[in-house]
Amino acid sequence: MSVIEVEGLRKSFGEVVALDGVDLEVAEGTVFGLLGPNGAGKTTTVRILTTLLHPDAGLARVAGYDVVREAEALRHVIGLAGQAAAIDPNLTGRENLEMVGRLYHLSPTEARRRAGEVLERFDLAEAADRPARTYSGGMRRRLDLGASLVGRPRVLFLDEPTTGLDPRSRLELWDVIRELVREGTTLLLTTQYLEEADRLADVIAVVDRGRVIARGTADELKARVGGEVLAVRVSDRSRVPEAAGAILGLGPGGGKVDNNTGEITIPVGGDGTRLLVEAVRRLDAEGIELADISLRRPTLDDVFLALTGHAAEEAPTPPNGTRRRRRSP
Amino acid sequence: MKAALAVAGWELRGAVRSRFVLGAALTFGAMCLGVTLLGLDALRGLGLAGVGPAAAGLVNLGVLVPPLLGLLLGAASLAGARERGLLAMVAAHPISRGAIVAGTFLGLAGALWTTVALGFGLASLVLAGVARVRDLAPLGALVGSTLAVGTAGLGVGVGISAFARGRSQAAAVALAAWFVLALGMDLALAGLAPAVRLGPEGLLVAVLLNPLEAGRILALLPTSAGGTALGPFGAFLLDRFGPAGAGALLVGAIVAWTAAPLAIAGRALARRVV
Repeated sequence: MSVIEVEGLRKSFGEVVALDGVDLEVAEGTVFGLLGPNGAGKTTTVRILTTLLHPDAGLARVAGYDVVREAEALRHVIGLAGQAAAIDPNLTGRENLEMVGRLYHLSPTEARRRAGEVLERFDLAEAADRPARTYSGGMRRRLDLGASLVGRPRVLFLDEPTTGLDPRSRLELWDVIRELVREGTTLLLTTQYLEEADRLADVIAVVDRGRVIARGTADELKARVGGEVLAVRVSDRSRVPEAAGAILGLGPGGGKVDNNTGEITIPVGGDGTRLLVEAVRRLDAEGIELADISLRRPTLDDVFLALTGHAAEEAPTPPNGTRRRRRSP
Repeated sequence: MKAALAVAGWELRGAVRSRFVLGAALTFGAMCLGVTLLGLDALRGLGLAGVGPAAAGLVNLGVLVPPLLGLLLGAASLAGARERGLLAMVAAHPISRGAIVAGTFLGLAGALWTTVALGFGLASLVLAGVARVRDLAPLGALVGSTLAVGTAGLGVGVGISAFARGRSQAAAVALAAWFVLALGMDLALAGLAPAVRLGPEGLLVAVLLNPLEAGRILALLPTSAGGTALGPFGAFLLDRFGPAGAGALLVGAIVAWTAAPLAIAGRALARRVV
């Protein structure tokens, strides 16, 4: 049964097109990852689904409620943790959570009880009565995520929950999210990191320029990239074009040269080890010295390259994570 | 309503713990104390009794400082919450945008009133020794009009905040609004007076268009039976409508200055991206 249904969702901000006909379907009790670079339309999608924005066109239902006509009722059954930790630094962690409970129309006693539960669960009980401004970045993010759970939502929206966190805090947050999913919460997660979507999401939709350009499991998406990626960096940057000429034809589907870093990446399918050896041999034959060579998992950039033919480089982000209207050719 | 009160409680708790409100309360308290002591000293120098000059000084302080505080507090409210992502978080809960505005206003009004109460409380401690029974009504009018005019400033500030792009822009507009209301309108009227003869309607509009002037006249109304201390606008109101009518008109103007920006803010917030 689908708990989120989106059909032909469109949204523009003046001349800027944020969503250009997005379709989504999310099954109950699953984690759905919305993957894309800055400005792809992920945040705008979340803001519409959480009733913060009205779409220009299209239909969206969450937990059976229309996001426009039944917004008030819908807000009782959803939770949202946005990109920035939305907490009041002057209040304690406990007060922040109690406040959110009151916004869900809970009685003061019930709000206090649930705040206590969340603080225990997110390992914040010891810091509960300290002002939130004294919390570390990871603690603030955990408190923010905890706040989105005080109302025990059926559907939880997490907008880039780990952006800006150090690796340790990111791993901790992933554990918490996995636990939530085990308990049956339906989760829509936006992220710029393929690894994050890979670890957490059952289904991933890749968004680019306001459209869903691919969807599937992480394995299915990676298969479209062609399995692993061979990454090569040469010591002498002036010889990058020469090195690219020698090895770009190795893989089953092209490759690319990053002009900023001088890195050459080639999708190599399941034949990584053999092609790595072959690349070393060819570069050695050309007398090109290697700085680094490795086989790695595909990144969002690799997925984008495979799906769109262009990299997911960060474009300047227009307001609300949007992009300029494309002109007709 | 429950959710609006929750937002009010949140705002109040956050505001009273902020350095800005704490600093403003202490500064206002010190100013009230200073003005009171200087006023009483001048009075004793003339060999007189009562609270007159001290109260007059407090009137000027009361119609200038609390509105500025209210404007700045209000301006930082929604714009600041929007910048920090708090506004979107709150709006994603079962609460209407109008209730968010109302809750924000009520919470900050509580903080503002606490600040004013602290300032006047300190002044009252000093005045208690020399005040007579007949001074109670003027002092009550002073406190009431100061709270009212400060609250109107807060309403305007919240209105500015609903439209501002960020906290800095909101603060700049709030400061500009204060200068216009505190000085600009009087200067403009003084400049225009020789050229334009303001008729009765013009005088009335000049008062109603400036909540600070309305607050000043309201504070002085109980002590100025002849209207001499009220200035030309106040004297006209007193002459035309009598003390009760003038009082009601002034209170109405201040209430309108408070409610209208809040209503506009509620509508704006319902349409704007949070």
